[in-house]
Amino acid sequence: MGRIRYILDKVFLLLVTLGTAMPVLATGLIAGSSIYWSFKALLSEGMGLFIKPPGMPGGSEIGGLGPVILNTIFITGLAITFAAPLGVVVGVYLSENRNGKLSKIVSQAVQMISEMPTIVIGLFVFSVVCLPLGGYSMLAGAVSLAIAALPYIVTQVRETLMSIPSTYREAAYSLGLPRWKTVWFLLVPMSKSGVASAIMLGYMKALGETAPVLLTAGFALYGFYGLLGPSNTVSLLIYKFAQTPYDNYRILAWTASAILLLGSLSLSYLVRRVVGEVRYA
Amino acid sequence: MTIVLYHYIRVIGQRKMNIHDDLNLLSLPFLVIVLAIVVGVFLVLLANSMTTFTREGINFLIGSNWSPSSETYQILPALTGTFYTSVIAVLLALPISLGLVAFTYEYMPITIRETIKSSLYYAAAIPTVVYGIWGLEFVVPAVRKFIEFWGLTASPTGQSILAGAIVLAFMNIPYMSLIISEVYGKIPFTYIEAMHSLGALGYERLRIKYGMVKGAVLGASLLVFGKCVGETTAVSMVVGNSFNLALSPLMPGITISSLIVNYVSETSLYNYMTGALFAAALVMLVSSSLFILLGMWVARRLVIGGGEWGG
Amino acid sequence: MSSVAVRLSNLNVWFGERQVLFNVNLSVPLNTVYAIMGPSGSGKSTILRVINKLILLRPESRVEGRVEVMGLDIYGDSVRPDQLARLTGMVFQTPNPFPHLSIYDNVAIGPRLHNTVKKSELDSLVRWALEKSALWDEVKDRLRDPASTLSGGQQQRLCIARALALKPRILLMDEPTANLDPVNAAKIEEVIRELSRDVTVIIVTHDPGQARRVANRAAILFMGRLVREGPLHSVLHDSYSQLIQRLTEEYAVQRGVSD
Repeated sequence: MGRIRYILDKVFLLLVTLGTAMPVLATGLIAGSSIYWSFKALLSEGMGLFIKPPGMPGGSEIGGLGPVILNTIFITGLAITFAAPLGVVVGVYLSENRNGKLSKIVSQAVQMISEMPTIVIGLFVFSVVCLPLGGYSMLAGAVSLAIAALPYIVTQVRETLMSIPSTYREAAYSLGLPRWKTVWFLLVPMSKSGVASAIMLGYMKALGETAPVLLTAGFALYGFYGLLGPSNTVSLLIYKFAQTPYDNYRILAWTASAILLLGSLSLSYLVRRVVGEVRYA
Repeated sequence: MTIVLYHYIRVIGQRKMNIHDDLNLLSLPFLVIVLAIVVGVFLVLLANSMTTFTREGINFLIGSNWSPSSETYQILPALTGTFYTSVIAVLLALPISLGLVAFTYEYMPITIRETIKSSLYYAAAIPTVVYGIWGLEFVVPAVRKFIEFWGLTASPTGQSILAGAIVLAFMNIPYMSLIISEVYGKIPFTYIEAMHSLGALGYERLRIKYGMVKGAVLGASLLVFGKCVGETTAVSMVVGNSFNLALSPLMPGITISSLIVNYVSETSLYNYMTGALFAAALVMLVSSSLFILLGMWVARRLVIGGGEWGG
Repeated sequence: MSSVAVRLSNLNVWFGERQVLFNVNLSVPLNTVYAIMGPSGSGKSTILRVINKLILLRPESRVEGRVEVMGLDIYGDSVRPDQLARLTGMVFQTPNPFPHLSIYDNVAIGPRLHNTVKKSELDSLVRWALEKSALWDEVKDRLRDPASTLSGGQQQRLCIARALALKPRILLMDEPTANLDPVNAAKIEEVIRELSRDVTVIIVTHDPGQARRVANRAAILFMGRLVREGPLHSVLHDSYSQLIQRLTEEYAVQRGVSD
């Protein structure tokens, strides 16, 4: 009589195993394809894969991702130089002023930015930077990515500083320094690794976002054109090349995927090592 | 002169905003920048959308005529496409996420649980565009084969609302599972013991626990729905970008985000297209934020058993 | 069918490397109230959880020895979870009725899960369980209210009713009145005395007064070892607290010598 319950339980177990298997399968396909195609490309092009520009569309040569990688490094680096100071200062402020009207308003604003569809950020920067400047530029792309990454830096810095044990906090304040010195010369250095992980998190966001750069940075494939010239990111390349019918471009897209995954996963790992847990802002 | 200005600002700051020390004063410009960004986004969107709203009126939202050549911009198919893909996505993601959480907590030993949660954490870090290329290379052909197998009249390439929904669903499963398992794991051990002492089996325990965390599950669903509404790159790669109002999810469709992305390069050719895209973006921003905020509110309020352990 | 409800033979339990029960041997006769006493950390709660296998929920737990419940070797033969749940019910130290369920549903959940009664009989079963736990009169007009609206003492009686609804032969109680005021504690002690006519009650308590009030037999544990066992008056013939104090001193001396 009680048999039915056990049978139902086994059926349920089967269902949830299938359910669990599906995302595992999807992730496996992603990882597998990225690794497979990037290895093929590596075998075919050698180190040139990281230096040469892409081959002719539909041509027999795969080419490489050199200029794209170079552009990515610059544009994300610039984005972080904008976002990091801003994010850290705001994060520190929010952690030290938990009550107070301004604090609550800024906190809400940061959360709003994190919830915004990133394409909206792209449109905003498009109209505020690209239109006046008359075109797509690395600067615009960097600003766009900076805005997208900002909330993650703020939240992480705030969490890190709030978690300083009160004994250390009290000790720092008991030295009688002016408040900004206590915070910036004692409390923040105490949380060095937390702040570093916040910046890493922001960088990971900047690497992975596509929509902000889609509308602002152009699509430079063959060279580096400076601050006001068109630029590119690896994620943008995936977006464009994956939709082309050309085999060599699709191989490059998967290779770019592999690079992105490697970057995101290693950054995640580092953040986790430092922090132990990330808030899902 | 600057010293005078500094002291002046300081006094004003003290009186008006209770900024009574140097830390906050020094941080002020940075805070202002953040506020300026948010305000700026809304202002820019509003300013650029005004002409479109005045030109099209309510037809902007309820009309299906998008023809740039006649400078008519109506986005109903994009609206329905957005909501259609997002609804199906949540309906797909929810049972899989719940199943994953049930699998992890009811049938797996504690050591494996941690491995699974770690993997979810890393899976949630995968950039969305990678899900897009996965969708193009694996999901779209699968949908196409399905359509061919059953001989249906639907999307010829496989790019469809369904493909968009599948990509959205899988993109959000790690995140959703993590949210749910967070609350799930916080259920006090004494209830777990009570359930076991009553002889409840795996799926029975899930039912009881689900009753306790319903609020978080509902909240997570709304949150993910809001995120799906705002998602751009992955969806536009697989949804087909055709102005369709069809009922079948196997037909290609269009979402607000993919609309913007596809037409942004043509704005210089037309007078009023830019405005229309901004207006569409505004609609998307408002709807997406609405659901995300609703989701967070629900998750906070409706976890039964008290907010203490209800995250 | 023997006259022994629970028999523990050469029971040894570890949590990882740490051993918490050392060669425990005892028998609980049917339809008695059996008290298990000892200072904190002596392993009393562990013994209860060995009897209903809840100990396996704790990480790295290991059980060796023989545990017989109503004659069944529960760690040896394949005894299904629902069989064990119908033999043994448990009441915990902190009242834990399921907060999202009503009073009625809390009592009914056991029978519903196990499908032990027909729908039509469920109402009378719930009433019977609540009457046995001396709660019926206080809640009969608000059975559909959430369980969380009850006071602590009422919640604990609800938990007793929840356990009783499955008509277990053995009721395991883990310091059930530890967090209650004296009035509610007294009510529950009365319930225990009434129950013992049909149910074997094994109660963990740190209060020798409570043991004297409700129990027939007792066992005293110290640092995972059984130091006294037998009829209540013989186990507690001298002062409980003096005994514990003496044991603690002896233990400290032992440790001092061996270090």
